[in-house]
Amino acid sequence: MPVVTVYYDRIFSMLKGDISKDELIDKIPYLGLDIEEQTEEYIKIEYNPNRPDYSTDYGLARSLNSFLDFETQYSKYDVYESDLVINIDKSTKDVRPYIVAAVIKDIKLDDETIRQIITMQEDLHNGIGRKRKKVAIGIHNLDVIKSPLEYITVDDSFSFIPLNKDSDMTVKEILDSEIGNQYASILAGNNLYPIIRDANKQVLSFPPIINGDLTRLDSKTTNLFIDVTGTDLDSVCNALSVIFTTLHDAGGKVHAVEINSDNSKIKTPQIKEEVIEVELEYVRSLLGLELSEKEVITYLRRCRISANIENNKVRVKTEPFRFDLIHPVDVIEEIVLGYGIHNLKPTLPGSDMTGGFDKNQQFLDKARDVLTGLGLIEIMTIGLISEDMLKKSEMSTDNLLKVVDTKSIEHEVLKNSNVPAILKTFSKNIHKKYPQRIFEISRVFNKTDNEIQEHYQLTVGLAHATVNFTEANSYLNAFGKQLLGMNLSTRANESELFVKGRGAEIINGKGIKIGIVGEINPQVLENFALRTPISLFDIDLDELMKR
Amino acid sequence: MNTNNLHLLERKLLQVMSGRNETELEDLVSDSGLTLDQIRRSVEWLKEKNLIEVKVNEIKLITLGREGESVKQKGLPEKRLVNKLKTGEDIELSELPKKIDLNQDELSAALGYARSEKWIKIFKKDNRVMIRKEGNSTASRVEELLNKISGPTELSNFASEEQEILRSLVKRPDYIAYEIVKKTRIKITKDGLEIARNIKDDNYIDVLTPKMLESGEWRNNTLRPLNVESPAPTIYSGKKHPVRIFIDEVREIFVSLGFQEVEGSIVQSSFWNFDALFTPQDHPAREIQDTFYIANERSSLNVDKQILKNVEGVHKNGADTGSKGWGYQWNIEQARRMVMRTHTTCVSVKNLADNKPDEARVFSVGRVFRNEKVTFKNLVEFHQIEGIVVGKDVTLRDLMGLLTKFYKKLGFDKIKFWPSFFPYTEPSLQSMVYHEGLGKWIELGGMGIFRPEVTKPLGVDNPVLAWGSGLERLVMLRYGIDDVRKLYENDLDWLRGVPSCP
Repeated sequence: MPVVTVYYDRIFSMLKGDISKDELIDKIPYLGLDIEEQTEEYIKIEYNPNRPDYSTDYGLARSLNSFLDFETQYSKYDVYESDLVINIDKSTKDVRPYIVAAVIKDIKLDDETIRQIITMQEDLHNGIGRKRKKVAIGIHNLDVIKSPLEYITVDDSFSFIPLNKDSDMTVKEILDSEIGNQYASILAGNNLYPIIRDANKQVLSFPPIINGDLTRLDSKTTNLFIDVTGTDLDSVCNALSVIFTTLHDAGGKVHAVEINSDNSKIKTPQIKEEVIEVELEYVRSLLGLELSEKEVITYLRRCRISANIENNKVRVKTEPFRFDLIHPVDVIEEIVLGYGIHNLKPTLPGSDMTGGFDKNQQFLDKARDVLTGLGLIEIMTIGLISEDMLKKSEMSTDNLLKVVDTKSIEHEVLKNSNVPAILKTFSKNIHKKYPQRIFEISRVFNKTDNEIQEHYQLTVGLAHATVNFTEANSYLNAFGKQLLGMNLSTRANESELFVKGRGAEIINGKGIKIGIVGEINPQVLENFALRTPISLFDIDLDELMKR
Repeated sequence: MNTNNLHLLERKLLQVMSGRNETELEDLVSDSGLTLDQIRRSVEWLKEKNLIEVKVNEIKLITLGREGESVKQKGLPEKRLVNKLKTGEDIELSELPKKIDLNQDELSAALGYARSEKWIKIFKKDNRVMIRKEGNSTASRVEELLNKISGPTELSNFASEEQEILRSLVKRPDYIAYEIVKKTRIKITKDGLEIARNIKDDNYIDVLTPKMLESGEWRNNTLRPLNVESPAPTIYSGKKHPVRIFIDEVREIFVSLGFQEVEGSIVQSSFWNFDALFTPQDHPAREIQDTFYIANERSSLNVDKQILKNVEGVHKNGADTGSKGWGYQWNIEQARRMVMRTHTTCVSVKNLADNKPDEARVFSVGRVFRNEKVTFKNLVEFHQIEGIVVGKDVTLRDLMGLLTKFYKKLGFDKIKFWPSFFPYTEPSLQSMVYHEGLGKWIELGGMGIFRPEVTKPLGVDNPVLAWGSGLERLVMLRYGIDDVRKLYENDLDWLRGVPSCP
């Protein structure tokens, strides 16, 4: 989750009413924000990625001013004209098709303001920008560039001075550098690379990789040029909305940029007024609150949403950075935020219903009762195991289901049997008191006919100095009889898991194999560094449930 | 002290010890007729009563290793090497293995030691490495010493210069092994002797036998009173896993609140795990570093065609749900990728799609997976509790009410709510409960009303309340555990010892 750092001195100067530190800390969670850290000077606040307008303290102040009723009228986001023009070359269409831009003038950039802006940029890159793939943002010193700009493509021998370097680098060199490496995959596939440059052919940006050194910001910069490029038009517009409204609130004046392509001419940023309609009855029934029209309007106003109600329909207009509102239910949430979650009184649903357990789970419950009644201790292990554990158990590694890019080889395959986990558990407990008698009931995974099958498997493991086949067979019989009144018989069958001549298949009444039972092969015991004999049985519970 | 208060074992041991000086525990087995374990237990008790004294000595024992045994049979490898060589004859090094019965390890050891004894010389001639005998091997102290060792021998039995040689032999792999053994010796005290004398005089019987009952002989005897206040030997019960015990408790609470249990597959298509939950296909949660995808497996997506079409539409432009959608072209191939489910919500929505209820209360407790590094607070696999309520008139406040009741039944009387965000619910809330033991508020589950973009494409028109919570956190609170890994380590001491109702 993204985090914004908010200094008390800044936020209090932005708030338009009086509130103590403690009250502030109390109120913030009711905006849907989590306080992550508190110090004397600042608080760190976690916000949800669908609200990038919270990525600076300006956004938080804006919300608090209305939420706390410090402000009941909101400033309009005026956009002035500018003479800046961007001409788009059509070759960018297949490389990185969308660009929008804005000019911000007369903004004062102290160190903390610059830091807040950079955090906003990073959070937009990571969130709606999908790590710069969908959206990348460049922020430039307007005063060093000359209109008209062009958005073109170049090949990898093209060179310019990238940010914080003092000499030319080719596009190829930049892509091979540390920063280039991180994002090069976004541009892979084409041998063309997007470049924004000005009328003097000076490079502003190589999106989404790096800016040019030319337009670097410092605390003396007062006029900004913002470019937003990407692969999705809505996303680049949304990102620009967050940026220009924030910089507006930071004291800048917003100016439009003309963007020309072969067949269109637009000006950005555009203030699109989105309208959403919600039935008043829907609001009332979903929240369980008999709200009056006036209340609904007040609560929405606290969330900076202007609304009017006609014929029981709530019509809301949203600010440009509120692209998270895509459905009437999103408006309903805003109403309940304005009402205050802490003011909601819990109720219980009117109608009563009869509950019940799942049939399979009930069967497993009874199986566990029998097994614990036999003195066994239940273990629970993880469903992903290492291939090595299967090999140590001398069990088949054919047709394994593997997960992709696991962070640990301990968890690389879906277990097709509980046996390795039982052996590993014994191996971890060699210094614990014997006899050890344990069981696990868990899903195991197999691949048959190109379908992944899951079934419940029971494995019972017995370990002590004199354990043998007969003991395992006795437990097996007791289990079958106590749970189902069923005789489970055995049929000789050799496997590497068991001692030769001391392993068998378990068969049901119809002669179908439903499990195995036997004395573990000493080689397997040695593989698990075990010094005590083990016998076990392993049975498919789905087969028993079908009975 | 009244001898009747002594346990049968204690009395036996005192009696045996009354005739002995300081004695090793092992030596008492045959005379007392007790097992070593019984002797140890009674020694503990008697020590506490000051009736015996206990001394523990550490002894260093020496045993021969595999190589040591072999040297004892065949002699030191360097001597075997030199004895095979003729004085004045040069042999190429690579020829040696054919001439002498030494394996590779023995040969390299033999060459090294023979050379440092100056019995041989190794030199190069015409680019060949040659070996020449320079002197005769002498009688070896090492061999004499090794011959003295048969079975574990105390180090202190050797003269000091012999001990010196033994220490140097440790450098040669598998020649000898040291083992430190603790020897316990006990001695009866004056009080102990006094009591042991009295023991002879009593005429209690220790065990009631079936024979005595048959014959009625028990009437003529008195059973010796036991120390009924002494601790008993430990036995263990069969038991469910603590996590399972907690799961069962949660299931019972759900059923008591009118919920029906459901279960579903652990391996799911991305369609049910993500797409049906209105998670856009480029959402970070779907990335490989967070989710376990199953290699090379694609789902045949055996799903109602209408539902597939609805989900595609809702992602694209909201279809007829009143939503704007995500504004992108949905790709069915992405939906076919198989995953280890990342939540049990896929089970709930699949259940909604199968039954399209107008009214229902459904719950599940199941395993979910995340591709994370295992730490004291993260596992790759854990349990999720989830409940959903469908009804024409259900409200957000009802959800809060049900959750309040649910946590109350789990023992949390105070609960508070605040707003939150989940991609598939709106409005969304989070809950905190007050833990009396810790004296603080604890963040628990998330909840909300499923977005119409989730429910409408499945054919469910009424609102659906949903809440979910991790289970392990609650189990840890119940058992006072601060490292989540402990839950699935299956340490038998913990499993045997942990109470069902802590």
